[in-house]
Amino acid sequence: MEEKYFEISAENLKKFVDGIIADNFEVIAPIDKDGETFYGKLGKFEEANLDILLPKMSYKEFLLPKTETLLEYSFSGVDTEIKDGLEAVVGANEKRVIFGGRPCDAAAGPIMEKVFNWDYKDEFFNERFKNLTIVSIACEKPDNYCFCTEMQLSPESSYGSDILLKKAGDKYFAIVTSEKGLNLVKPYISLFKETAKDKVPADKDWKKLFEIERTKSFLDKNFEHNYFQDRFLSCIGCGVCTYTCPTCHCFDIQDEGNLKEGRRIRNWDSCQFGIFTLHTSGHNPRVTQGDRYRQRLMHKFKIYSEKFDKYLCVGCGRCSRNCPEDIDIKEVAKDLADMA
Amino acid sequence: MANTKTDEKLQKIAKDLLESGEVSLVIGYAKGSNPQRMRPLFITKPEEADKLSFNHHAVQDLAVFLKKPEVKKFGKIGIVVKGCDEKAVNALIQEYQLSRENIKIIGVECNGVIRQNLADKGETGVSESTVYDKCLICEEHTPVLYDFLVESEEPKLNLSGSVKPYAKIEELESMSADEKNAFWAKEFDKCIKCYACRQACPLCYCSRCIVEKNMPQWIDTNSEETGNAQWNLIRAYHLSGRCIGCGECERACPVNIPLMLINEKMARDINNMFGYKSGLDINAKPVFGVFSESDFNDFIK
Repeated sequence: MEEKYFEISAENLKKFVDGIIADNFEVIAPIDKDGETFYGKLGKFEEANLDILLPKMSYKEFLLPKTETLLEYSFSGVDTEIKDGLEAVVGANEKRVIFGGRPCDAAAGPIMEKVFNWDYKDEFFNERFKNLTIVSIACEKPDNYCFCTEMQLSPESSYGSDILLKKAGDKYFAIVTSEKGLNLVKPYISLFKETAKDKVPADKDWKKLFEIERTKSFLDKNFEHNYFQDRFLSCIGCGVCTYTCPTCHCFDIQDEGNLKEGRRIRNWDSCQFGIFTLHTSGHNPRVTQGDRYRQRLMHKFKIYSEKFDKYLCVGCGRCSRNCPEDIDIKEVAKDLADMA
Repeated sequence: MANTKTDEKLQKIAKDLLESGEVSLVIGYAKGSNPQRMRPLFITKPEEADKLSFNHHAVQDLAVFLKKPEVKKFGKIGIVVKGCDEKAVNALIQEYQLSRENIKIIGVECNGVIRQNLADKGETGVSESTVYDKCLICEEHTPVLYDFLVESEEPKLNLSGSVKPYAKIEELESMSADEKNAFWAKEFDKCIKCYACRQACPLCYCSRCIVEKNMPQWIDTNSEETGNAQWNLIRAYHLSGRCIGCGECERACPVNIPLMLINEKMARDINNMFGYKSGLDINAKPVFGVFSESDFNDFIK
């Protein structure tokens, strides 16, 4: 679909969001809770905190839940009955909207979609992704941890958003990029004023501090470099970087139950955990934290781009902000670029 | 930013230790990713010592690194510790995880560290409303044990009594069992089973954590009500009588579960029941590692 451009006043935006909530849309937006902002279910527009840069966690749990049931089984003594967990996902949450996220979070969806449709089509992910409508708000003031620009995106990118809102004084420009976005707007079209592309303010000239291609170039040739062992002595393997990251998607499959009944579930996992690559033999190919952090850098800034033409990082900076030991991945990526 | 006297003293101690070969590694703090953050620094050469620094943004408990095999292999280590962190070193010595001879304790006098979430928003003032609750009840502003002591140039915390640390504990104590359950069920519902609390804790050093055992899977790994309660409760139990209250678990938690309410409550109970406080005496026997005939037994009915 060709992009459509609209203007909407701040007041009408409020009416729009409250309207879709009243229409039984489940609107997920940044909400304050105990002094911190997380994505949560919006009761009304006013509850959303659209002033902060980013909520602490990404919204990937709506694409890849922290825990999801893949199948359930019950054994009668003779026959085994299997219930496919996918049944609960198909058609569910068709009226779920993520409102007020940023372009970085939005970009994570299509980037992850590639690996979830690579050698195997992950229907759980696909169903959720298909049903989600993303309405993002462009950033005006990234902080020193942000590096979406270096990751070949931008604070004003519409990649992955069904609607991108750009603030301009007391109104917003709305760039509708998909049929899903248009369908959301249609019942409230009277609140929107259609406009032309040249009326939408041009993107600012965002400067890059380093070239991600140079980071990759270092990673291509320096697997055994001491940097990885020395720099990540301070990493405690807590995995907060991977859990709060919008594009990290490693998972662990667990079986729970007994002879009579049980289920197979998929949980979030982390390559930063010590036992992530522990073999049954007892051998661990990634035995130091330096080995494990190197792997994270490789996956994000080299391997994924070789397979899918996109880096597995949107530059949101959460890993840096949330790291208890203050490891700044933007600094690290720049270090590698400088050493290339 | 020019070196403070504290920084200069720290740097000299580290430089001397590395030059003499008394230690092969010094773990300290350095400037962080923004002016209101510090980060851990690992130095092996005397000339690197001038990067060391310490101020009221030094929130990390550096004792957490003493459990890492990658750090242990350095053998003799010098470590910069605040009073709270130093208690973790003591507890590790008590539990035979660390030899007293292999650690040079560089104690720093600390008069409070600013909550990192406030610091990230620009807070630079140390006051009873900006520091962690643990700072308000701290009795180890000067570490109880050290090989070197670096005095603080910062003023002592002014406690007016208007801020009540861990006030929620009294509130919880007055609740019924059902109300307490409801409170914690809501908090644990947030848990995403990332185990950052465990990783950030200097005393969670088991090479194979109970949650990593899967034959059988004693503790569910899913992020659901039962699994979340199981994990948080088992960690609380495994730390009871051992936790020294550094608060790193709560700080590391990405979903802001108030873990220190549990830890502080446990510490108070242990002190009331057994007259024991963890981490104050390297010669004391761990409270749940020994028994005495005079221990109370009125719970046996």
